[in-house]
Amino acid sequence: MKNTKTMDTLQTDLTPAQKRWMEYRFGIRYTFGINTFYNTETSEGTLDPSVITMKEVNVDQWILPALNAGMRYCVFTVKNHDGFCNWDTQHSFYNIMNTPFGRDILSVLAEACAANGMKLGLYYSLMDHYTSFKNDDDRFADMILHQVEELLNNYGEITQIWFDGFWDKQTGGWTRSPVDFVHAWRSEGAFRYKMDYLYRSIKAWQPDCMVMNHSTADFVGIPLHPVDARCGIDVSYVVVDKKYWNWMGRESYFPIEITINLSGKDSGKFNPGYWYWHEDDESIPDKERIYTWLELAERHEANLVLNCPISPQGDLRLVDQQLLESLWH
Amino acid sequence: MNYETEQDNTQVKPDEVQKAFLDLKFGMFIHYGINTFHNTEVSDGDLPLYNFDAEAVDTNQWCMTAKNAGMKYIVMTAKSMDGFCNWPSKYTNYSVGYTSFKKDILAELINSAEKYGLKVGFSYSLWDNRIFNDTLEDEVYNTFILNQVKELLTSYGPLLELWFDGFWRRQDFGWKAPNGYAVPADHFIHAWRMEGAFRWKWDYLYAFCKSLQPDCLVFNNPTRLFRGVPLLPVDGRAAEKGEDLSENKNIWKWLGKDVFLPLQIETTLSQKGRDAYGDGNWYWHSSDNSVAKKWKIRSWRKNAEKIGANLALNVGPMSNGKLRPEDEKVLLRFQSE
Repeated sequence: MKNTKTMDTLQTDLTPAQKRWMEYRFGIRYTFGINTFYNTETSEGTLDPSVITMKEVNVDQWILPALNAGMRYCVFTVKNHDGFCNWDTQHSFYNIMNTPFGRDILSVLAEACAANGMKLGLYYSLMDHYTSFKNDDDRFADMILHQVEELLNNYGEITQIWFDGFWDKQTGGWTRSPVDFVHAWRSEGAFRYKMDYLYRSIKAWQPDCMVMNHSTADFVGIPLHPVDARCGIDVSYVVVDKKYWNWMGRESYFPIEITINLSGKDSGKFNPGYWYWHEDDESIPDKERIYTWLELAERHEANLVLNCPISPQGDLRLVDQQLLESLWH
Repeated sequence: MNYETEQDNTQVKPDEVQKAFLDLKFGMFIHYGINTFHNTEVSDGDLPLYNFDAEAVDTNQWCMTAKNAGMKYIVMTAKSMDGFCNWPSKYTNYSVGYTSFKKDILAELINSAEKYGLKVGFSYSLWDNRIFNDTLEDEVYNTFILNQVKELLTSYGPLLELWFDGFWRRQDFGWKAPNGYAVPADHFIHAWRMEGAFRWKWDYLYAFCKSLQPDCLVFNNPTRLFRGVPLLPVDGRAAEKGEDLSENKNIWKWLGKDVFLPLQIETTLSQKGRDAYGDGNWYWHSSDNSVAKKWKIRSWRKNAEKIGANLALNVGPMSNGKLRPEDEKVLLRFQSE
C-alpha cells in the first residue's frame, strides 16, 4: 500500500493549497439555521422563518474562544438540507434576508474572521428540500452553481467548501466496495449534479478553495471526485485511512478532515451528538476527550473540526465557550 | 441506503429517437478535408490551405449514390484531427472559408441530402492538432470546442448524430492491464470517467449538445481497442472497423440504471491501407483503387443486421469533390440486387 510512504515523498504529492490547509489542523464548525429555532436536526423546507428574531449574532464570541483553543479555521453552515440560506442569495427566497433579523450572517462572520485572522470555510448542502424543482437535474444544478458563485465571490477568501447531501441523486453503487462506489458516483451523481463543472467553476473563482464532498457514514473518507480533500464524521473506528486515491490517472494523496460534535446528546441519527442547538442540551465532553480526538486526528494526518451549535440568540453555547477557552489551561 | 435493485435487462428498450436511428440501418460515412489534398490520413494542422483547390464539391453525387445504394443517412467529417473545418467556423482560420473554394461544404451536403431524403450527421474531432498544445489550458480549449459545437448544432437544422473523435489525447491511463492486455470494457469506462470525461468537460459538453438538439444522438469513438464501448454519457456506441463483431451488448449502466445504447459500425470501402491502418483508407489517395467486393459488403450488412447494429460505409471523395469511381460503382451495383 502507498500509505506507507514517508512524509517526505508525501509532501511532494500535495498541492500548496492542500499543504497549507493541512497545517491549520484544528477548526470549528458553526451550525445554525432554521432548525435552530424549531428544536430539530432536520426539516423539509417548510418551517416558517419569521421566528428568526434575534437582535445580533455575536460572532466575536464564536471566534475568540476558538482562536484561544488553537483553532485556525471555521466552517459555517450556509445551507443545510432544509434549503434555508444564511446569506443574502438571489437564488432562493428561503433565506436570512427574508426574516425579522434581515441581515446577511455570512457577511458578518466573514468580516469578523478577516479581522481576527480566522480562515473561513463553508458547509453547503447539495440536497435542498425547499426548491420546487429538485427533480429537474439541469435547473437544480444551475441553482447550485449560482449559489456557489455568490458564496465564492462575495465573501472574500473561502478556505474550504464542504458539500453534503449528494445521496439524493445517487441510487446505484451503495452495496459496492469503496472504489466501486467512486465509480458509481462518477457514473451518476457526479453527472446529475454537474459536479465536474461546479468544481472547475470553483477553481476558477478561488483556486485555493478546498472542495470536499461528504461521502456518508457508509463510505467514510471516500473521495467523491473531483475533490481536494476527503471528509469524515465519526472516524473513530477507522484503523487505517486510505490516503492515496486514483484521480486523473494518478494515485494522489487526498487529506482528510474529521468532524466531531461537541454535543454528546444522542440525536437518534447516524452520529452521536446534536449538530443544532437544543434548549435542554448542555452536554459537553471533558478536555481529555478532545485531547484523544486530537491524537486520533494526528494519527490519521487529519484536520480536526469540532461542531458547535449556535443558539437562537446568536451565541455560542456557554459550555462550548468555556471548554474552548480552558482547553490548554 | 441499500436500495440498489436488480433489473430485468430485457425490459430496457431503445427510446423513440434511438429506434428511429436503428430503423435507418444503413448509412454513408464521409472523410473529406485538407488531408484529401495531401495524400495523407492524418496531419498536424499545418498543411497549407492553398492545396485545397477543389472547384466543386459534388454533394449531390454523394447523396444520389447513397440513396441508390439503399443508404438512409450520411455522416460527414465536420472536422478531423488536423483541425481543418469543412465549414467556415468563426473560431479558426483553418477552414474551408480560407480556401479558394470558400463555400460551406456542410451546408451544401445538408441541401443535397434534403433533396434525396437522407438524414445527416457530423463527425467532429475533439483532438485538434491545429490549436492543441501541451501548455494550452483545458478550460480554454474546452471553450473552443463548445463554441464550434454550437455552430454545428445551430446552423444546419436537426442533425441525426454528432460523432466525436479523438478523445484519447486526454486519456492517459486505463488502456492496459498490468499483464499488457486491454482492460475489460467496464474498467475502461471507469478510467474514462476518472480522467478523460473530466478533462474534456464531457458531461457539460454532452448536456450542452442535448440542450441545443435533444434528438441529436451523441457518439464518442472509443477507438478500435474498445469497439462498441460507450464513453458515457452518450446516446449510442461507435465501432470503428467493427464489421466483424459477432456480439453487440446494447445494455449498459448509466445514472444508476440500465440504459439501451444502439451500435453503429463504421468501416471503409477502401481495402488498402497505409502504415498503421493496413485495412483501408478513410481519406482519398490517388494510388488507392482498392474497394470492398460486393459480397463482402453484403456480408457486413448481414452481420450488422444479425447483431442489430447500423452499418456506415466510409468513402473518401477525391480532391475534385466527386466519389471515387470504384466506390460509386460498387455502391450502385450493390443496390441493383
